[in-house]
Amino acid sequence: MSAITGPIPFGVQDTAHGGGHAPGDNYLNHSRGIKSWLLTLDHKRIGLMYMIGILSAFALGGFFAISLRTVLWNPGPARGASAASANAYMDLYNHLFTLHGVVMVFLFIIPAVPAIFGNFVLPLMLGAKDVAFPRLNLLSFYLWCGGALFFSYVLLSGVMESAFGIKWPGGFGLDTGWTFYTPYSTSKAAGAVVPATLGAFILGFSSILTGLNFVATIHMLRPKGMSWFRMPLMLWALYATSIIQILATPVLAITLLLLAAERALGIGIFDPALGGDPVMYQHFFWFYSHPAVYIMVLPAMGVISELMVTFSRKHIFGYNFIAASSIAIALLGFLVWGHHMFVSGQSPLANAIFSLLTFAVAIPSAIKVFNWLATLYKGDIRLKTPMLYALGFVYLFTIGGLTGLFLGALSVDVHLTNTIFIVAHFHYVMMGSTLFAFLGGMYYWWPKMFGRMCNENWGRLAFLIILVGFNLTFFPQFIAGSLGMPRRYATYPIQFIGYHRSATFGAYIMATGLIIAGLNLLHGMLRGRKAPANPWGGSTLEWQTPSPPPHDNFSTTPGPVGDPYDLHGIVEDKKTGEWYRLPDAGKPRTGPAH
Amino acid sequence: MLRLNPGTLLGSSPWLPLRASTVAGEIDALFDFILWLSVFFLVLILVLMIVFVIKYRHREGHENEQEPGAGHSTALELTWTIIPTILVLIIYYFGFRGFLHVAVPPPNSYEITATGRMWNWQFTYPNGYTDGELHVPLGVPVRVILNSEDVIHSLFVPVFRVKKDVVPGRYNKMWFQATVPGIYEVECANYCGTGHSQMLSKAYVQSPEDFKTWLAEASDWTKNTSPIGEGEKLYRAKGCSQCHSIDGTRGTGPTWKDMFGAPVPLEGGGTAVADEDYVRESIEYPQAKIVSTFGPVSAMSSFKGTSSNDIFALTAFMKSISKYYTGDLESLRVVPRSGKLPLPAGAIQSGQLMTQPSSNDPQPTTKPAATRPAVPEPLSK
Repeated sequence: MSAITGPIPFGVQDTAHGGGHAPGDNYLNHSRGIKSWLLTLDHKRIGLMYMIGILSAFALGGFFAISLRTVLWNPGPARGASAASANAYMDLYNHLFTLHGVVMVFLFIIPAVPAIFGNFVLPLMLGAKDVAFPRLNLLSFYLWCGGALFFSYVLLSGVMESAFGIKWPGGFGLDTGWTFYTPYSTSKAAGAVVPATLGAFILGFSSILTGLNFVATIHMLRPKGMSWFRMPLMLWALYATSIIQILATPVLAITLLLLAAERALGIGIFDPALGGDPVMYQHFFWFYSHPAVYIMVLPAMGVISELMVTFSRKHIFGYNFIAASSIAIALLGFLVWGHHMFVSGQSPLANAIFSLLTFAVAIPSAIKVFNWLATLYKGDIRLKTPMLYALGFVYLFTIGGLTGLFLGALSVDVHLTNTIFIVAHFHYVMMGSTLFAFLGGMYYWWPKMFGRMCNENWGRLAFLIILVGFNLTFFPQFIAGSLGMPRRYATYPIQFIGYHRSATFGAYIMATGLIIAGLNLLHGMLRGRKAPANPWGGSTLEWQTPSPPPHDNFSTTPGPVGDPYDLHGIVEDKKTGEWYRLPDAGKPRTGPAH
Repeated sequence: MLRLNPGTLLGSSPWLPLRASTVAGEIDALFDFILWLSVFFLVLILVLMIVFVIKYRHREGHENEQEPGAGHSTALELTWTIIPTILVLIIYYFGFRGFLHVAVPPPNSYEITATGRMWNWQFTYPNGYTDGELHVPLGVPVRVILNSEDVIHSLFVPVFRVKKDVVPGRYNKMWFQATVPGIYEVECANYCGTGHSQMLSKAYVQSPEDFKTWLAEASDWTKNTSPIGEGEKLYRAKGCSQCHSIDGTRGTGPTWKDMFGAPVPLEGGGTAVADEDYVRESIEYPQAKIVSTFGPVSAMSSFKGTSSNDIFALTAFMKSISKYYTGDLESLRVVPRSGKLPLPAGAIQSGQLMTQPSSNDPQPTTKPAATRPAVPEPLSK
């Protein structure tokens, strides 16, 4: 088992077909048995285990989403319902939206890209054998499992109570919203608040350790020749994300501990009845949770940069600006938490400063979008499934970003905040953007993970269904929100029924698309045609090793390490679908290889 | 008179509610500016993306025709850095300016206290009257002091474009000046538990005269309290209790116990029967007939100006604690019907929620909002 590896000497030029290994030997079949997986230190296997867990969480969160949208199909409980059943109706919705938020945020979207793709491709992109601290990496995974276990307890307690009437210690279910706002969460809510916050606390450590590992890996294991500005942009994005994870997550941990202390021990911190300050909780919470938004979206942006290059067959436009904008977003992201609190009663001066800083974040985001567009210009664009997701990302992220302008503007935010305009806005950013990048990344690196290709037609069809479903679900919520429909409402005025029914209908369509996309991935993994080392024509180092990679990643030293997006001389063998670098690469080429 | 805006959430713009406050126009103008700016950039980006994808799609034999080396253009990069910067600064400026108008109330605003609790609203008017619904005079700046009894709520009136969190342990403030008469939604915008989506009320914008009339009528206890009950309240509220006991002990003034209907010895000789007329005279002109041993000058100052309803209530209360009163006490204990001002006939309560849409039943035109239970009732009445 490999542990820490030093920088790998370069100089050997090879198209890397897995020379030094027995044919067919790869990280999947290198060792067998359940123990060889559960105790593995191989970043690729850990990435796959994360994938199983995180996708299960995604399915669960999606189930809650579909359920809550189903509740909202009607504006309220049936006419003539008793008070008890009307309350049960509203409680059901409140639990569903809380669990949807908690599972999606903490178990899916924060770890999704870093823990799955970060683990799988980060060392490969560096040409390294593993991350800097493989044992820490495994610990991160088990911490994730530990956090998930706490959330499972919350869930199970809710099911037990509502289905069987069995009361568990520590409350049942959770109806605080994923934000755990005090003093409701500490003094009034009936749910299992303490187990849930402890779960998020443990997940936080998983996140911190992963970030630490990635920062150390990027600092220490870059190959000779890979200067900072020769790193693939995915690595810049992961680096920026890791910094946020390391610096912001401890604040969440402290906050959640204080919250648990108040709830369990009655120590007055946030509840004014105990002498606390509830708005202080919001400052603490958003000091983490706003940067967390960038933990969710920055790595997604990294994925998009990779996809744009590979499928445009063109060098990324404005490499330095994209790299710098990742860091700028990460740093500015720490200074805008107050924009969640414009109507909380914080001082107008604070509001003015937070509003200005919020607009400052818009600039690097705009720069990225324009650079991606410029990358398409004069490219040789191939609309493979991952590329469709990348284009979908640009479209949805643009809407998500532009609607952020409404919310950054102080006076308009006063009207829009806490309406479902907000819900639509952050779903365009988190789901429309991060999920699309995630799915694009899945289709992009799937052949590298499992050595098999997915069906392109089914992949494209699923993309279209998801895109249509997504817009049907969330676009109407912008209009309903600006018309005054508050968020987190179990019941709603009748005039909003059209918007809500469109959203529910869209959610079903989207779920259908996601299931097709998932089945297609599964089918590709089991039955797809064999994938070559480089099925897309990627120029970064992970495409130089066979698919799936051998246990220690590279049998020969990958290289040359130069400009990560130098596509010259990478040509496709039309018969096999394999891309390879011509031996005389380095000189600009003018025509096709054949 | 109240005028109803049918479907108050449909206003002058298809995506914003009616503009019914002085700040709404400015906020909507900025909203529309950002909207069209966003539409412009979205279309620009989409068109460029689609054109590029079609024009530069992969065609056989055209592979790798790109220019070598990294693509970069400092001029272009600066262009799309500087133009968005200027645009967001413009948005920032107008957003901030509008916010100052929303945040700073004009002097001499009319003050109403709003109290949020799980899960209803209470609005307290300057005369102490408390109602479950918000009534405001048209064209008058109104400042609302926000107060929570339990968790964080948020008072939201979409047509006024104002919203502010209602935080326990501190008083937040908001203000608005209504410009269009009508009945509008008042909502809780901060999640607060089971009945969050039922924490609704109405805002009535009335002409100042109508508002004054409404407040006088609504504050009129005869609509919602029994005379004896109101009299007992006034006994404490007006400070009578500081001098007049009701258990027979001597205070600065004579006790009220067993006073009504009894002959009262007067300072300077003679007696008077403590009847309705005597009570009224003593309230308005305390020096006229002073009870023996409480003179020569009464310590009581005149309460002239007390409404005849209030005098009636105080008298009723005195009757209820006097053995000399032989009349009918039961009729003075009757609580009249709810004093809510009924909505105009045929009013559609656009926020009236939340039942299956299949029904065509006429909406109720009145509802006893002030007696809304803490746990919401079933949603249909």
